Amino acid sequence: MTGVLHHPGYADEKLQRVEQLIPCRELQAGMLVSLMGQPQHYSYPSIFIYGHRASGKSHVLHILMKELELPHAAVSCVECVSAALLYERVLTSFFGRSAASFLPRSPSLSEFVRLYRHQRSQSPAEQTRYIVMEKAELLRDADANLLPALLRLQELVDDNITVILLSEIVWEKFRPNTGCFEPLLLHFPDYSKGELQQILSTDSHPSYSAELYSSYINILLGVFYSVCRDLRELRHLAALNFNKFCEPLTEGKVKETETHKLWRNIEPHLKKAMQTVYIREVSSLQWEQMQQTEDEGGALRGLSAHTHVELPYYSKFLLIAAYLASYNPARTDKRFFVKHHGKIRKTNFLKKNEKTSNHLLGPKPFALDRLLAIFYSVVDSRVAPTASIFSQISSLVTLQLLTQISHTDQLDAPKYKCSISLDFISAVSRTVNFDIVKYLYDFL
Amino acid sequence: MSKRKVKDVHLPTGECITQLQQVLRERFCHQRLPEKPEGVEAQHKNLLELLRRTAVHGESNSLLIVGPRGAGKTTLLRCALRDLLQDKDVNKNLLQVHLNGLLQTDDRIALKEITRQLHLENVVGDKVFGSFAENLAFLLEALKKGDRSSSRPALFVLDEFDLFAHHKNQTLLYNLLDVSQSAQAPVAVVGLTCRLDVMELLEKRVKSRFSHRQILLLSSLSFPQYQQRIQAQLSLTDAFPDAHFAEEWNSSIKTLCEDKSAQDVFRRQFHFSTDFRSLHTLLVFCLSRVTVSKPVIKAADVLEASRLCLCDAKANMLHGNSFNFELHKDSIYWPFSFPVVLQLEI
Repeated sequence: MTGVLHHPGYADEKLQRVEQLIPCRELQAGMLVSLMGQPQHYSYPSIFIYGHRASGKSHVLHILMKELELPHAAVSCVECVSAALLYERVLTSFFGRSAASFLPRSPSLSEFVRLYRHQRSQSPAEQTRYIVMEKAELLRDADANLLPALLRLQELVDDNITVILLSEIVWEKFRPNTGCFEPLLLHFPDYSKGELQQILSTDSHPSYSAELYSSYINILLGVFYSVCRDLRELRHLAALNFNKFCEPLTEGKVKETETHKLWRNIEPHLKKAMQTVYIREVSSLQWEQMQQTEDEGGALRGLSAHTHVELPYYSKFLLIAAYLASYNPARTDKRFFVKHHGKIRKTNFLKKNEKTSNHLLGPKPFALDRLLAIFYSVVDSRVAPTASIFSQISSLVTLQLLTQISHTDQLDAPKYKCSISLDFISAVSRTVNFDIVKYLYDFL
Repeated sequence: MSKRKVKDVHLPTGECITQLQQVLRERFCHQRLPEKPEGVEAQHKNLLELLRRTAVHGESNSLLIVGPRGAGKTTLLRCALRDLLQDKDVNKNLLQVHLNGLLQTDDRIALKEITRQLHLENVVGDKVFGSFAENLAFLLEALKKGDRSSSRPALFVLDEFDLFAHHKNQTLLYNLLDVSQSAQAPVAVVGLTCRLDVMELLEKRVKSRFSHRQILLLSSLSFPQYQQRIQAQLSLTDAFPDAHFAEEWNSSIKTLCEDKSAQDVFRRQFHFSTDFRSLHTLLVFCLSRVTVSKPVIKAADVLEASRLCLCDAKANMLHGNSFNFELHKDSIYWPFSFPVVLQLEI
């Protein structure tokens, strides 16, 4: 017996097949199988499995259920917007479509349990039945009695049934006020670097050798592992950049063995792709097109430069004023916006913690008066404080470029915070020929 | 005679393990009723006596069983019911209605369920009732017209009793307790709850109709008793088919309970919580590690199981976080925000 998985309740061939399908998750699967026990035995009423995104929770469960041919109902809580859908799904998977048709319109949990008991008395479970619920955190938003009832469903319906909950958050956040049946807790840890390498290397390209792909993955992980350990995202990145990696090969410039040259070729592209990990501002197709055009232009631009927002003229200045108010200490306003302010040296007059870069500390709240004062001094022409200016402020809040800090019912002195980045504001100020860097205290 | 029988049923180890798993899994996972209640004999006697008075003498009663989660409230009640129903006369006569606060979330559903569990759907038919009380009175009246001249005793079990107190106007509780108070029909109302302050939840008119009988299940085990309980939970009974294996298993459990490191684990668990359910969680993990090649529970298994039971989920999640927050800066005041951290990272 070579495999890690071994259990008297299931055939060895099946378990070996399972093992091949779930690389690097044998330990967790073995644990799960031994907890589930032999199919005809009782299993623990509820099992709660948690782990980060893309740590193989659903995959392992899916493979186990499918390959071991266990009677199960796979339910995604995202799909089940109402409890009725959940009941229907469970009854259909265990007792066939006819059983679910007995459910009345908008059934209560009581009716579901009654119907289940009725069906069970006709076809009792020979094997443990499983309900696998993905994204279980959504159950917290459902009726308050649903989650506690599901956890002790075995007792309520008096059947050999186990409910498996999969979630990305910890069990402590689920527990209701008065407590409930405590499920078994199982943790799926993240894949380690070696495991990621092993898994990613499996989907190699048919026209290239496995070693080449493996070395490509090695390069990829070297760049991205420090910022992203999400298998799904890494897989996406690997697929996206592989063509670029192979370009010198198809052109015949380098041989497969010259990894160093290949690395030199791909590195800048990977560095660029780093800025857009997780963000997916553009589709993969657009990304590839962009790679093409940039090669011709020769300039490497980040993806963020492609986003731009069109704003009214005064809104732009309002935004600039808000940014200045957020990132400059209030005491420096005099120096920037008053014509004859006299000499003030940069250092001594500020408190100690103001010396650290304001951009690292994040935006600070400011009052409406200060915003308007800065606004009047940065805008070229004379502007009257009309309703249109004020409505533009509130529309900036709606656009989430500004955030209102104080409570909305406080009318006389509202406070705001500017929630945009330096890149964004420089792009905006360039459109109105305003050199924002000159007015920022951090860059003096 | 018995010696020969033992020889006859010597099973292979694989079969023995299967049997063992079956027996113990039923005990841990399915809450199989023990032969006799452990540690709550007095309460059991009390409850049984009370139920018997309703079932045999037609006396109405109401009672609450209060105890923390996993303390064995349901087990106690089910044990008492099992013992009660051994009496043939009672078995034939007593009607049971089991309601659960999780399932019957309002009084309309509860009433429907009561009707169904009393097998009175046909009697009710399409009748329209003016009020809840009228409906319940009709149901109980219908029970009177059985083969006996007097009405049959009914037992109402309300699991998660505190949830019923949140129903509108507490109509169900009011009516049930009212019936139990005003000698209409012999009714026993047994509530199970984990809230010690459940009395505060009841309205005045409901509270005054309740008999204020309570059975408290607050375990006050000492550690040796707890250890005995562990041993009892893991041991096999004489009913196990292979007596030889059962004997070996039981002796291995005994050595396990005397093992120093296993005792440490049990002691920690004991200080953590003494209820049945947390113990079962621990033992399920132990049991899942018993295989044909290793048909005993070792101290190492117990250690591993307790590690799994008591592991800190939040720490686990943080461990795998995408960012390594390695902020070993000097201990001076240093304000951090996300941009600061990101800057440090890159």
